[in-house]
Amino acid sequence: MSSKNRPRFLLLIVAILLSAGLILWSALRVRYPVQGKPISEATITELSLTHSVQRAPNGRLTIPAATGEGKRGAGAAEPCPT
Amino acid sequence: MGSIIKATKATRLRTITQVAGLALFNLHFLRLRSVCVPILNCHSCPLAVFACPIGVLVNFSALRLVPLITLGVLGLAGALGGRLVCAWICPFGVLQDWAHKIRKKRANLWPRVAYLKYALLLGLVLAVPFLLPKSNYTFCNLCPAGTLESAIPWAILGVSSPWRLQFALRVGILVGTVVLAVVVSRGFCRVACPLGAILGVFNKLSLLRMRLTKEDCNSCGACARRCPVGIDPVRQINHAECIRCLECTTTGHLKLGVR
Repeated sequence: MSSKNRPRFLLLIVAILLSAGLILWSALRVRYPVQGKPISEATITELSLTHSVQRAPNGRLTIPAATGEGKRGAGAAEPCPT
Repeated sequence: MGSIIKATKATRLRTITQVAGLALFNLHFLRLRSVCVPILNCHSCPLAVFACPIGVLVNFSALRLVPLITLGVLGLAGALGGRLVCAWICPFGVLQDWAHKIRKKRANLWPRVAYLKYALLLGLVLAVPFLLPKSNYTFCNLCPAGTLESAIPWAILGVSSPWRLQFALRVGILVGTVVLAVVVSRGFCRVACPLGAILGVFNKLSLLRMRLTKEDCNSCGACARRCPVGIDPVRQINHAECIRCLECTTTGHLKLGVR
C-alpha cells in the first residue's frame, strides 16, 4: 500500500467502525423519553414518518394522538406528508 | 486486485439489479419502515418497504434529534461502495436512465451546478426542518421522487387533494426533473440529490473503488464520452460525482476493484 493510500485506508476503517458502532449503540442503548416511556430510535423513526411524534412547546417529545390532539394515530397506515 | 465485474456483463447486470431494486423496495406487504436503506425511495409511497434516509433526516431535524441508525447506514453504504447504490439499485436513478433513453445525445452541465445538492442538503434537509419544524417547504415536500411515488398515487387514490398550489409546484418540479433527465443524463443525481451529496463524500476512500491502469490508457477520451455523469474517469478517478456504473470500464483501462 502506498504512503498516499495508507491514511485513506485508516479513514475507511474508522468510517466502517464508527458507522457500525452508531447502529449498535442506537439499537442497544439509546432510548428517547416519549410521554414517560423509553422508546427506541427505530420506533421514533416509524412514528416520525407518519408525523405521529412531535416536539411539544415545552421541548418534550409527545404523541399527539395519545393525548387527543392529533388527527392520526401512532403508526397509522397513512404516512403521506403531502 | 483486478476487476470485479467485466463491463459487458456489468451493463446487463445493472439493468437487472435496478429493476430488482425497484420491485424489492416497493413490496407493499413487507413493511420495515423503522429501517432506512441508502436509496431515494419515498417512504410515503403506498408500496414502499423501507424508510427514505433523506426523509428520516428531515423528520429528525424537525424533532431536533440525531438519527444515529440512519447516519450509520449511510456511513456503511458510503464506506463500502461510495455512490455505487446510485447506479445499481436507486429506483429514481432507474427512472432517469429510462428517461434519458428518449434522447441519446448528451448535453453538458456547468460543473459548478453540482454544488447545488450540497446547498439543498444543508438548507432544505437540515436547516429548514430544524428551524421551522412545521414548514411545508422541506426537501420532502418538494422532492420529485416523493411526488412520483407518493403525492401522485395518493391523489389518484383520493386520499389527498391535487387541487392545491403545493401539489402544482411539486408536479412542476417533477416535470422539470424528467425534462432535465431527458436532456442531461442523471440530471437530478448530479444537481439536486442530497443523498448523492452524502454518499459522494465517501467516493475517495470507499472499499470498492475505480482503478486505472495507466499503461493501457492512450488518452483517447472514450471513457469520458461514455460517462453518464460527465466526468473524465482518467483525470477525475473516484470523483464525488462518480456513481460506479462501470460504463467507462468498456474501454479496458479502468476497473472496479477492492482497495
